[in-house]
Formats: sequence, structure tokens, C-alpha cells
Amino acid sequence: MEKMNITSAQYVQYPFDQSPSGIQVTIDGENVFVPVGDMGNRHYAEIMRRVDAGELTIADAE
Amino acid sequence: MASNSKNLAELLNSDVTLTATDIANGAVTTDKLADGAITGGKMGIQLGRRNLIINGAMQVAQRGTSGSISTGNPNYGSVDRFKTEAYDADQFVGTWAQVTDAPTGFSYSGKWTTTTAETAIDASELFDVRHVIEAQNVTHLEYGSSDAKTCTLSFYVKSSVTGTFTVNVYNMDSSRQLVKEYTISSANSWEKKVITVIGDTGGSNFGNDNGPGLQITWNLAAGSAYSGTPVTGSWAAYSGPAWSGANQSNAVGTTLNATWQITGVQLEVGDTATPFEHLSYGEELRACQRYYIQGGGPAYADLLGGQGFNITTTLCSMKTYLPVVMRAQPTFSYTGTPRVQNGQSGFNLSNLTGGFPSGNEGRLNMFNMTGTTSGLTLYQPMNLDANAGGGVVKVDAEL
Repeated sequence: MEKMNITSAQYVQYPFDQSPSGIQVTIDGENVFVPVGDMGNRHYAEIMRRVDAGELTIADAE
Repeated sequence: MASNSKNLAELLNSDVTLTATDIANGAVTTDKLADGAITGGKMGIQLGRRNLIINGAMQVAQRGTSGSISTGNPNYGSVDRFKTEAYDADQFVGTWAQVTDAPTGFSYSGKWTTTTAETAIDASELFDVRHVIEAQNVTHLEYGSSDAKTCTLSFYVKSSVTGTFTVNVYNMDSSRQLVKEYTISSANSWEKKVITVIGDTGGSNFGNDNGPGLQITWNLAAGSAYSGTPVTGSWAAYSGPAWSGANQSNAVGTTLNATWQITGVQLEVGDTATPFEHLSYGEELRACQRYYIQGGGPAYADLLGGQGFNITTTLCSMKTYLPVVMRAQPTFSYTGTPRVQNGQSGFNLSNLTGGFPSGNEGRLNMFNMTGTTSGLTLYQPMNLDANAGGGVVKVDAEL
């Protein structure tokens, strides 16, 4: 029964990382950094569920 | 007869009082003991690590001693490992706090206070307090088999509201639930409740992983989508209307200044509630930090001991060691303004991120952080702390 308010998702990639380092995202009004790839993280799991459902788009890294 | 037993002459003289010396050493076999005859009190020691609940005595509140109850997603606002929910609430405003009002033998309780009452509980609304146990910590309960173990849930509760309440025990891996009722008899008095959680022979066992396993929910108000079906006392597949039974009081959610408190929460294997297993604050804190770590606070507070060097003129890469290996890759956030400083100059950060170094997840407590700012000198070593306004970092791997 997750009802997170998720907005403004964008990948973050640092110069020394091969792949995106994480996702900068606003969840329930708080700006948080969510690591990529661990479905055990409840925020990442919910972000990916919404991406798969077409409910959320993650912007590319700057 | 053993040499030290009663002899015939003594018995003929009506000397029938047995003393310890009348029983031969090693004469009492296990079969002679009735089931349950030896209690924890008789053993003189308390068997350790019985409690499957973390922070059951509400000792740890890393996030602060009081927080708001979210009207959206269940959230952890104060006491560690216990989250609250006011799902789909309209008017409701409330707090969840660590308070010193507690029954004898305890120092804290978790306290729900309804500061703005819901005018009516709509169908989709649900108010509760929850605790989720990591799946791999309950696989020994052998759910989904004939060996499923019965557990006993005990807790102390105090509320301004009397009546019937429910506890929902939910296997999050097989979506099955057991609902049990308890009664709060006297307003504003501590009462101990003991609930038998029979093992679930249906469904499947908990996954041997770090995901959510067994969830315990103390319902405080429930709309018709989560109530209405009478409690059966048996495990069954998830059903919304069965979530809180047919007699759950809604008054905690609909009464201004209503309170509901809990402490001494213990879930243990077996059909008997033993005395609460008190752990030291340090042990409970470490257990909680597998799920959440908070650092920093006042002006210039150290932020997790981050140390590193500038890898560009705008990025500082830092490493630290967390106190424990966390459950999963954590979500990282901060409040206030962190900075990096070299002992001479401080550079306020416009962003700070953090995560496990690749390849070490779940095994090491190493943690990387990256700060973004400007004007850095390439390769200069830096420390991470808060600026004059203070700052807090939050590392969240909660279930």
C-alpha cells in the first residue's frame, strides 16, 4: 500500500562512475538520493514500478 | 531404592516428608517433568535473544522524540522500527512520539496523539502503527509447512480510548494474514496484552532474503475497505475487509486528543509470554542502524566522519564507515547545509549524495559520499561537516 509522492526524478552520474550513480528524486516533499539497482531499497523499487507502469520518467543525468 | 532414599522403618514411623537428600542424584528424568513445569523464573536466568522485535522497549528514536504522522505513505517519524500510517486521511493531524510515560520496568513508550480528529472514517482510510521484521530473520518459523511454529506476541498498551482493537499479523511474502482482537478495558491505564500467533501451515514460508517478512500492525481505525469481516483467529489469504475484523474501534482516529501508547513489544517462539527481554541501549541502537542511521545535528557537527579529497574543482569524494552493515543500499538525504572543509576554509555543498561502493553491498559497512560545490582545489583532502547552521544526514534502508 505504498502511496509515495514521487516527483522530479533525474539520474546522477559522477565522472568516476561507469553507470548512473543514483537517482535524485523528491519523495513526499523531501529531496533524496536513491541508489540504482537494489530492489531491496523500497524507494528504488517503487520508482522502478512506476517507470515500468509509465507513471514516472527519470530524466537523464546532466 | 537409592541408598539415600526413605527406608522402610522411616516410612512405618510415618516419616513421609521427602527432602532433597531422599532423592538420588540423577534420579529425576526429563519424563518426570510436566510440560511447562520449568519456567524462566525457576531457571534463574532469562534465555537470550528470544525477541524477534527490534526496539520493542522504544529506547531508540534516532529521528527525534516526536514526529508527524503522515497522511500518505506509512512513515517512520520518531521511534525506530515502528512506523505509523493515516492512510487516505482527510482532516487528521497527529504525532508519534517517544515519551517517558511507561509501565514499571520500562523507560519509554511510543505515543500516538490525534491532534486534529478525522470527522468520519471513510472506506479507504486506515490508521495504524506497524513493525516489519526482515524476512530472513523469521524463516525459522517454518510457515507454509506442518512445522509452522506458534509464537506469542506480548505488549503493554495504554489509551484514552477503551474498546476492541485488533492486531494484524501479515506474511508479506505470501500475502496471508492473521487477525486477533484485544480489549483495552480501562482508559489511560497500562495493560499487558498477550496474543497467540499460531503458525501458518498454509501459504509459503518467508523468503531467505533481506526483504520485508512478517509485519505486525496495531490497527487504530479502519474504513470499510479494511474492516467488516469478523475475526476468525485463523490464517487466511489477504482480504481487505478482514484486515481489522468487524469490531475495531475507530475512536482513536475520530477523537480530538485521543492517545494510544505501546511499549514492551515482544514476539517470541512458543505459546508462552516470557518476561520482556531487555537489551542495552547500545545493542538496540546497533540493531536499529541496520535499517536507519542519522548523523549530525548542531553547528559544525561531524557528518558520519566523511573524509576524502577533491576529485575535480566542484566534486569532493569521501569515504566513511557506517556503524553496521545496512540491510540494503540506502536512500540518502540531508537537511541543513553540509560542507567540506580543509581546516582552513569551508565550502558549503549544493548537493551531497551517498551509497555503498560497488561490489561491497551487504558485506562491508564502507560508505561513499560525494559533495558538490565550487572553488575546490584539485586533490586537496577534505572533511565533511555541517556549516554554522547545522545539518543532518539520513541513511535509510528501512523496510
